[in-house]
Amino acid sequence: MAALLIVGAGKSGTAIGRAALEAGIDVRILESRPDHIEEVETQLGKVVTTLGSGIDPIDLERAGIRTCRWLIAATGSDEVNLVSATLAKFEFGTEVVLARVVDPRNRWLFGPDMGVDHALDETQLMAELAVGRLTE
Amino acid sequence: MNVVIVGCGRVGSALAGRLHLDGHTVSIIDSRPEAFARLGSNFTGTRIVGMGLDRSALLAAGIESADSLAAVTGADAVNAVVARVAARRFRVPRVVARMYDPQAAEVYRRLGVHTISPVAWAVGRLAEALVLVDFTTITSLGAGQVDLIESAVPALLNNRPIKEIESPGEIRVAAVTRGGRTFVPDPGTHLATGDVVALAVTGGGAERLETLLGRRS
Repeated sequence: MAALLIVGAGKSGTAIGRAALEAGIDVRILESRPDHIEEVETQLGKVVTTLGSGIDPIDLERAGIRTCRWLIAATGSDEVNLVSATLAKFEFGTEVVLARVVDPRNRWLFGPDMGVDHALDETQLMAELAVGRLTE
Repeated sequence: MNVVIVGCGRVGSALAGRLHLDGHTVSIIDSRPEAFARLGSNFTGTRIVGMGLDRSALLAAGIESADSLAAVTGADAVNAVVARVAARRFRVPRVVARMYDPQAAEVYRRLGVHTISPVAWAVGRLAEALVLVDFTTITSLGAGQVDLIESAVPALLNNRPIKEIESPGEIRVAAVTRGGRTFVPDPGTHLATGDVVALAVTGGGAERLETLLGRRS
């Protein structure tokens, strides 16, 4: 079974983790705040968690990035998500890298040269869904 | 040369002042307007209030025609992203990023970003200066966060100002023993061969110093 590493166990990371588990994906989570580790373990159960930072290559390695096919950088900080993506793609050779865009003004940075295969721009996605509802 | 500096902290502001004095065209970006107070009144370069990741701030600072860029905010991640984007997207010929984490600095160096890690740099300089002499750890303060180290001053450092072996927040000369008298140095004190200096060194720094000197494997 292919594995997914999620960086950041906030609301977004936790929701992604839940959906991935339901899809039968093996989920690992790297999170820097101990209380969030406890919370996500309680909520999701079957996840392997690691306490550490997504911008530290040693912590990414401890979290098992080398055995993961996918990485989703889902912290609340655009620069952290970008650094995680860059390290994953260019240092660890992760096959597919997704990164969350927190501030839409930073959307321009989330490209292949920063290691990002797909940008998850929450604000934009929400706008599209909202307008889609209005016009359906 | 046209230089863009991202981050107007202690390093960014001093770097801006120095380069401006040397006749370069300097633009400096910081998200906090009050940060520019660190720039001396002689600084007539461009000040841009904005986030370092903000494209419009980088454009306003002239990144498209910049010869060099220094990413020196307090956040490693911001510096890494700004440096990479400057080099890859804007083709800035010379880019340097400050990164506090030596491991991350090493990885980014492999990824083509010129990084400077101040802790590793300072320890390297200190080790070079002290490598010919022996030193002893006198005591550890706190939970080992700061070590007091005693070392004889090598001939290499004779008549050098004390600040040459200091690094803000990392290495500080606490006392100097000279000719049987021990005193607390002032910023103008110069070292002399045969002095014994007591250095307050941050824990990580002391450990790396010992590693560099081969006392710890």
